[in-house]
Amino acid sequence: MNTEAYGFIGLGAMGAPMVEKALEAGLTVHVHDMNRAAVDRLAALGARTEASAAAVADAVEVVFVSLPNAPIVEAVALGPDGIIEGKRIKHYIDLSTTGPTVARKVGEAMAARGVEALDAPVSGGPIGVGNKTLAVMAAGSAGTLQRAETFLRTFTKTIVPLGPEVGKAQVVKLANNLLTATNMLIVGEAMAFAEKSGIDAEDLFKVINAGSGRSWVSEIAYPKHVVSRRYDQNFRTELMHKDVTLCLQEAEKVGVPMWLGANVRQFWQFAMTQGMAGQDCSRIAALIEDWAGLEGSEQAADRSSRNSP
Amino acid sequence: MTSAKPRIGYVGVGLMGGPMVARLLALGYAVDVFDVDPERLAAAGQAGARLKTSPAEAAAEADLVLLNLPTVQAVEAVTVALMTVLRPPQLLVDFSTIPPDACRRLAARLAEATGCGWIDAPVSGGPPAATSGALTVMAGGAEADIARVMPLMADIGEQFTYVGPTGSGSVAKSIAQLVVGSTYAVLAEAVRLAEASGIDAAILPACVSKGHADGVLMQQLYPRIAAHDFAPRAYARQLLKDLEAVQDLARGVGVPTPMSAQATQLYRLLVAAGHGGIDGCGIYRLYEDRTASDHPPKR
Repeated sequence: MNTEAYGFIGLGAMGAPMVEKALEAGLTVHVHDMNRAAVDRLAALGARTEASAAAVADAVEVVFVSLPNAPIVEAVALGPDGIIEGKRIKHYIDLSTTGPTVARKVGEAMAARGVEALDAPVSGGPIGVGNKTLAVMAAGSAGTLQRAETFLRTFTKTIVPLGPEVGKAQVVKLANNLLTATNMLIVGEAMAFAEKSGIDAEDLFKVINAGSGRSWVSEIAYPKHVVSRRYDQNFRTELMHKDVTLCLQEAEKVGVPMWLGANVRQFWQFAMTQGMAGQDCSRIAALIEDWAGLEGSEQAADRSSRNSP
Repeated sequence: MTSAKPRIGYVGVGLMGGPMVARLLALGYAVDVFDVDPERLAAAGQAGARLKTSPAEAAAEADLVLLNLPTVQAVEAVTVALMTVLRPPQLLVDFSTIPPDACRRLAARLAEATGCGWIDAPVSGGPPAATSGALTVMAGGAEADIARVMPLMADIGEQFTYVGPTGSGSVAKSIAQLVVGSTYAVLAEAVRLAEASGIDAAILPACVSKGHADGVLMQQLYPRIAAHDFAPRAYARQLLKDLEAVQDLARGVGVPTPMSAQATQLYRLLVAAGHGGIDGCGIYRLYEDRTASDHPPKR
């Protein structure tokens, strides 16, 4: 019987289903988000709502955040009415992907106030939360990880501890997302090449996924979201661009050249200028197909209808 | 203001600052200099400058305080040191190449602390142009401040462009560095390909003269690459810093810059390989094929 109450701030594409899973498991969760509708939906499922991040940290000892970017993490954690003002909080767990720099900064500020921090980005997306197969990489206080584990286990399959130094999990996460951002592009080029040569996409992925070219992108993302033409990976292009940009910035700081990574970042930056920022990242495949002049790609269809007399 | 030349305080007398100070002294300016490197400082002394022991001392009697420093950190440190001593109508002119956002931020801090104006005036042309007064200068700042430095600018440069408010000169210089840095890498490829393909690589500038591949860099830089002369006129590490600033600028405004992004990574590889102290055109080193039978190329 677990009587611990948890706090959770940031009820977006990742945070909301995480809290749902915790509520389903019978845990008590105090939530806060700027988005009223997201709060109301979880309140209807049994979450307790709080008026600010500080109020969440006044109510419970263990507080999670899942937020979109570094400035928001910093504001929610350290800003006015932020978590750091909470009277009861003892453990702070950041599930966001915002890079090691902000994680270290917030971790140090929390430590100065006697709050232990855990840098715990996740991999697997909303789907991973839904089928409880998420992977969590965790760097920071071992005691905090222990206190967080019951909550994390309601949607997580794998927890990889990465030692006591806050920020290291962010490095691992950025390395992971660099690969995802790269694979989303290169699998698209491989698919366009095969399709234009008359090979059925389903056959292509059957072979790739039985061979040395396979990756999560070829096994899950493309078959599910691209070949199906549903483009519902539920991860926006602007977030992919943000992650790969963060990775390149951190690589620059530690002096690691990224010959290929720089081009990958530029590709996503280009996609941002094509109106794709708010669209699902899997649509990048349609852009590549269009460049290849493939029949059936959305843009090609659009173009041929425009050009018809 | 009288017709007498303004008294100059000069901080940073390295590859660019050194010859610029020598030229100003030759033209009759009184110049007080400071540099953290005693050898560079001594060289300026031999050219006739009064040597000072801090940026604040160099600025104490100056009408115009000129900076020529290698990094934004150095510009920031010197700016902070000057905040307690500068008073209007003293005016700061920064010839360094620093990122536009840092330039605007430091200018605002100086204005708040002292009321003094800031002109960002990055230069292009390298040490030879600094020596002969043939620099290309692109400047940002208040129009009234710009008017005060026009005689000085005419003495150091052949081409002066007033771009706009403070920071605008740095933007223009960043974009110029995008072209220069990317072109260095392209010319190095051209030399290497010419060598490996069995023609006399040195002949190419004559071949393309007046053609579409011609240009200042083809005529002036390419021959140095072909001669494998990588003695630093501008350090590779400096060009990397400039290209990184270009990428920051582009990222900030959301513009794809795939060509210069690639050049940036190539410079990062060059510096990582220990070549940060050679000339930027030494990017050629990356393309040397250590297994090729023509290496080192036949001269």
